[in-house]
Amino acid sequence: MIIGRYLMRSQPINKLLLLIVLTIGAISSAYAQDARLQFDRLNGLEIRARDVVEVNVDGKLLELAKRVTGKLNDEKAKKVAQAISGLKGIYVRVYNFEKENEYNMADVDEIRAQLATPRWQRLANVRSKRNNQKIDVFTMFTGDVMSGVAVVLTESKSIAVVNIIGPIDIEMLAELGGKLNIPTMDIVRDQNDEEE
Amino acid sequence: MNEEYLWDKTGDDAEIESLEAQLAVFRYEPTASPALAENSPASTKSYRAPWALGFAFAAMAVVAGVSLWSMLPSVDQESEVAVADAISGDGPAAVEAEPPVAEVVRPHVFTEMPSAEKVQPKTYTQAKRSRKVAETRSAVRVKQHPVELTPEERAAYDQVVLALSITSSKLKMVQDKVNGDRVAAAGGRDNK
Repeated sequence: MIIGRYLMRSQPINKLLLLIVLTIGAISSAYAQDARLQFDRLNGLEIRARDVVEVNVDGKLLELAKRVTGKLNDEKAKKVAQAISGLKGIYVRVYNFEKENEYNMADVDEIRAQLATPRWQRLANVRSKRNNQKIDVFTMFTGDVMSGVAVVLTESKSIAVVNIIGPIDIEMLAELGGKLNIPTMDIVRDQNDEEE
Repeated sequence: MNEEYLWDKTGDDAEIESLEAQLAVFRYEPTASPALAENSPASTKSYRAPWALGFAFAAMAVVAGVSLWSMLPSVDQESEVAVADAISGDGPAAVEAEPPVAEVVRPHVFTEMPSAEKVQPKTYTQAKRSRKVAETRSAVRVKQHPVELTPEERAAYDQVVLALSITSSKLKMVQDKVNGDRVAAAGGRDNK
């Protein structure tokens, strides 16, 4: 409403400048949101899965977490602060199943289809016959700046999808797990694996 | 009128003598009045001296007290920092923890000045006392370190750590797989 009043009263050149600024803002915002994946198809898996981990950290929650890292003056907090400093959101879904083939691969393929656009670049593609493991790592760049990361992992008894919005150092993040003092969440191995 | 009598009281002059007799009541008396004798400087000095001395001692005591207070150890500054942190973020929980800390800190005034290396305790009681003070000081420092977080802050932080941990573990799997394949490929080439 304020913008509308301003447009009515201002000079034509000012109107043009304002429109350009708004357009650029809208485009950059849209680009940033582009990195966000839709997890709607995975919602039905919650009923069938044995364990479910769902994490949505963005907006005020993320700002709060950033503030906490400033308060906690330890190594772990510093690493976390470094990792999340430029982030706009972190979304994680993990489903562990009791038995094999309890989920429909089409649900995960729908997410992989979202990543099959020119804006997402495949960073890693791991395929293993053991556990029917498939891991895809994608990154999205806006100019020279990373604007998103996506990790999609499927195994015979588990699904894990990670979507990070904003720039992040992937190598640093890969090494971070052991330093967070949290037991690394490995996908459940089947009996054959344990025997091996 | 006899001039000589007027000047040096030689000879006689009845007129002047009668005048002298009439004015004799106003003649100067050489002795000091009793009131003036009581207000002599010596008696005033002896009367004020104890008050001045007491005031001087009181002033010195105040100055010494202020000096000691300003020489309080840095522990006080640490507690101020802790309070500042608490105010900036999580408020009441951390602020509540401050008063007991301040109570424990006060005795440090006397232990900070002579360090353990410089002044050896002479008696068993002194040694015990200094050890106890040192323990209290370390306890105070330990108390000040934990940062109180609100449930919302704790939840937000835990969520982020969990998300990063999961992401990290998945990326590590990929990294290990890629590195493993590279090692295997290098090993294969060496065998050939």
